[in-house]
Amino acid sequence: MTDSSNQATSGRGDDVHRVLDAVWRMDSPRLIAALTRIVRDVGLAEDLAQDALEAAIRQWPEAGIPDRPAAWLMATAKHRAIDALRRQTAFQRKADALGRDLELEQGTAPDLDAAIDDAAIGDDLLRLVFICCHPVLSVDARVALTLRLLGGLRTDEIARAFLVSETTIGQRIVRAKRTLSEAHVPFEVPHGADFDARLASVLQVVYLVFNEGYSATSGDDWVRPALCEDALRLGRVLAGLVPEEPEVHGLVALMEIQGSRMRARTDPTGRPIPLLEQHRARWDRLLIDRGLDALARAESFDGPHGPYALQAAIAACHARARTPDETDWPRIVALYDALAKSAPSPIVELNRAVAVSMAYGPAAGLDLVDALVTEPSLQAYHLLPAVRGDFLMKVGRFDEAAAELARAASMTRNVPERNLLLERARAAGEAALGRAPAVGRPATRDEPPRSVDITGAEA
Amino acid sequence: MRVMILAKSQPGAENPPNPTAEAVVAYWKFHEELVAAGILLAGDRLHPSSEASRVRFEGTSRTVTDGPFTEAKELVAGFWIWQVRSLDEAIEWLKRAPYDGGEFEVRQIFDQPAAG
Repeated sequence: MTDSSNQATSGRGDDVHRVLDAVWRMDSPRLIAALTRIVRDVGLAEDLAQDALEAAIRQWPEAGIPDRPAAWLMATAKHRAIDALRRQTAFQRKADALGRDLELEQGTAPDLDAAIDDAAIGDDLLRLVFICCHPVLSVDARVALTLRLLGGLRTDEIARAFLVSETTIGQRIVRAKRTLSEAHVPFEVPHGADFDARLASVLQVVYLVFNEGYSATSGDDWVRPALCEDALRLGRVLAGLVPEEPEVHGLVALMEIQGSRMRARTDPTGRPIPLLEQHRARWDRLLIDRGLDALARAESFDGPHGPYALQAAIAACHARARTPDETDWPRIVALYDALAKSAPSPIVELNRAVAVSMAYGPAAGLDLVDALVTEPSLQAYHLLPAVRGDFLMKVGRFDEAAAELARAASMTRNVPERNLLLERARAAGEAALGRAPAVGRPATRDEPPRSVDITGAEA
Repeated sequence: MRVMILAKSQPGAENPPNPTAEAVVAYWKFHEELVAAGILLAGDRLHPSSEASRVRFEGTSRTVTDGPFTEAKELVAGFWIWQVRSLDEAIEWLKRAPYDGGEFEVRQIFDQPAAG
């Protein structure tokens, strides 16, 4: 990079803060990952990175933005790491070793860029991913820590995304870092069978973030696109870090394809539009193509396809159909059958019932859904009565349909979705009174099978 | 948000001379960084305007003009589509691109839910 390009920017007053904001988002994950390797404590590493950020806020407006902002932050944080370790005599020997390490590095790589540019950084980043999603943490804590340390989001941004107070998120992150510290969670990539379980937790966290953005569980927004984008970005980063894991590509494929429908899923007033009623021309071809590519990568591995790849394959069936009538429902049923085998859950059964109703008629779907009515884990799940109400409507049992849809409406905390369900309940009620048979297109939901996760933690 | 980065043609040289091997390596390293960061959605170089056409609309008539076009500053030589959190982030990424000449334009892409 040339000097002149930076002078142009540093001349523009308060731009330093905006540059720092951007640089933090771009480089803080690698910074914190490299620092964690040095100090072996993710909480301390983040504090050091923050110290470096504050030093930049103080110094850059006067001194100008350095040529390599990330290297500047890294060098500053490293020096602070050494100071911090030196102050604690218990760590004296380690500090000396670190000092030698730094001098050695300065000797061989004068600009310290190597410290964050070298190939090892990928390993550090992956270790950071696994630490953020460690099972010693609650799922909420994993999500907050992942967005903060890997997504580079500020606490207030995370709080806004999840509609909780900044204090809550702040405390959650502090507690998470303390828990990791107290449990002496090692900064490493797990091995063997442990790796699979831990990777499943990582994928679950990323997909949770995506779903929170894609189909907000509460509040006035049906979608929060920025959160979906953060999840997609994390997923793509992960695919680069562990390219040999088919399920990572499966998850990326699933998110890209679902993300492709983002602008088609709501009308201008924010009301959700069911999948089969969406204007397919508004689906994002770029994301669909990226999703299909990722799906092909996931499916190129030997062995049975995992739950994310299967869900992505289902999403791909919709993406490939130019009109709703072209949808290959029997194939979707077959994919749900495979999903029910690989990741059995009542939610999968519910989604399978929807596919069966589309492939073989509402009565067949209703039989499957009736078998789920007593399922304990679905008692609070609004989509069970929503789907059942839909089937009842289609087989002409309007009274029961109205009751189920109204019940579904009372169970969701999402305002636009509740309104939609109430509308359908009213239509069913009117049909029951013998008025216009308000039978529209079946409302197949554009709803990710959100509890289809490998751990079943959400169910 | 998504941004499109437009690479402008260099004055007087729509087809830059063949890049050095070093420059190509540097370019691909940058490309890989964009991929690793999860921000690169698409991007490519464009053929020169000598192979391009323009279609001008005036009421119901359409006039087609074939290239090459001369106003080099208006010509686009390549593009990227990135997904970033802010325009500032796009600018910071762009500043890290390994070029020693040329001009790039950063434009935000509309991606709100289609309003009306």
